[in-house]
Amino acid sequence: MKQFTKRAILAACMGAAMLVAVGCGSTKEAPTQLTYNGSSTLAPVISKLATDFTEKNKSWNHVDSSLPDKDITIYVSSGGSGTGIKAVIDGSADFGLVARSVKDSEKSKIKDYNEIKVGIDALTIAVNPENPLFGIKDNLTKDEIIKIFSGEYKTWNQVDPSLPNEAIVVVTRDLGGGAHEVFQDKIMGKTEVTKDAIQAPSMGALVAKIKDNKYAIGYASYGMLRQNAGQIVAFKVDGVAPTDETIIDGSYMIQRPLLIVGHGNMNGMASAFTKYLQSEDGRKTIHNMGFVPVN
Amino acid sequence: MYRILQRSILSICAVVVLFSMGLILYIIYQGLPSLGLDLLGNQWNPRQELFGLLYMLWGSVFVSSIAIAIAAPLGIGTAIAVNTVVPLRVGHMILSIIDIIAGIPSVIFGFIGLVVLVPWAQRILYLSSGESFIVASIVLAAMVLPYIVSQSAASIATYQQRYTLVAENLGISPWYTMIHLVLPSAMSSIGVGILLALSRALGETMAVMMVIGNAPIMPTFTGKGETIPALIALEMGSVEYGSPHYHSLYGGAILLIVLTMIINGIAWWRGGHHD
Repeated sequence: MKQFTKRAILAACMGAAMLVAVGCGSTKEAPTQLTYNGSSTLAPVISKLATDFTEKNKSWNHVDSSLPDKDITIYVSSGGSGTGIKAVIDGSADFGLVARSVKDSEKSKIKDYNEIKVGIDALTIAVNPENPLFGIKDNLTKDEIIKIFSGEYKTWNQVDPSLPNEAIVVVTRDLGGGAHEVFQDKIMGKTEVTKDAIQAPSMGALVAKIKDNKYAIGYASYGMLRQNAGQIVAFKVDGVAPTDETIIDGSYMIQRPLLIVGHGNMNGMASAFTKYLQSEDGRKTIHNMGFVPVN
Repeated sequence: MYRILQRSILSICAVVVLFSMGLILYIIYQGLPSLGLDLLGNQWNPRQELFGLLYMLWGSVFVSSIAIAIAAPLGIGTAIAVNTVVPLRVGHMILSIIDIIAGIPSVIFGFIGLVVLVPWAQRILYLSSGESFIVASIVLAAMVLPYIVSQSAASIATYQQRYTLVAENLGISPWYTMIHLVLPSAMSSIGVGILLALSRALGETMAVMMVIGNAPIMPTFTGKGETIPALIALEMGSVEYGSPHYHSLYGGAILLIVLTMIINGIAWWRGGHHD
């Protein structure tokens, strides 16, 4: 009995010692890895790019001979834009992933603030191709969008008398999330979205609802609009259609930047990976994942 | 030798107890700043710092109650049938098929609800959108059915064994035995099964979230609504750590735990008194 307890304690001690040893090891080898943390919109993109980059190059000196002969390790974790900035400030990640503009108060907390814009995410005002309103016009003014989403217009014939007397089904993402924040900032302003809106748990569910119901209207992401071309269609907003060009030149208003933020000058590894993000391959991946790449 | 066994069993038990207590204490600790009358208000709007959970709490109770109202008669009826009119082997087969339902992931139920029931409700009930309490209740009813059926069937079988031989010898008809002896005796155990199914329904997140529309408004049969688990799942991912919004979501979890504890308490009390 005594021996049993002793052995158990010994095993527990050894386990703890091993954990401590592993912990020490990883901090010493930090220079050959990169860590990214932040936006759940951007994290999957950076994660995919990191996987491609690692598979292609295997070790850092393969990318650039001046870099060490060590395996490429890039960690990407997702916890929201705010978490990304916090991680850079407290040093728990090398870079923060942010899917919105960085506030001045946040910039001042980061020493030698540096940001790289890797792409743009846009939201489109999307409906079913059989939507009656889309049958008579392809443009909505900001004011009309506000009235539709706030519930001031309850039925389609209030938007235009020639339309059927059917209820407008407003579909949004969760009202506390990043996508809605963009929509609220760029379109709604102080006006609140109707309480009767369906809050879809994902962009996929939002698009499915629009495909399924010709009286539904919602903000599908630009990537989703392209993936579902023909099954959902988007209105122009104040006369501007969502395209790569109008999103890049900023004339299409419902958009947000995808940023990587960090401290001052990047080391060799970080700049090598950043170069890959901005390369032809990297830009193609960003575009394939539904975003608009920028230089 | 047995002392080692006894101690190991005791320590396993201690770990489980500590873990459950720790979990509940953590939720209470995180939700504590939000507790107050404001939490029972009827306005939920994080952008305006309004955190009233009344409609979601009511929504959780509402959708679970309708689900039980649908599932209980079906479940008890099935349980009686497999013990009476259905041949023994077929009965076993039916029970195992129903048990399989319990193992289907809830996201599958939600998905079937979304692609089959939601459009159906839209057409049949002339709704502008099919996401509604009635659809969510039907989906939930299917999910909790196995809990009611297996508990009821087992309990009915037990009492049937106890009474049938005597009753037959006294010339009492099988249906008289069922209605006047077996069912009344089995009722408390069936009731416990129903209460456990109710707790299960209250906590269900995914399937309900997919078909209920998630609008924080007053629940009605054909209207959209939101439940507390759906609210937490929807908003926890993007909430700012440590904000009033964050604490209020944990506050919702506390309300749900209290509700489940009350139900489990009743189940335990009822079960203890009669069996």
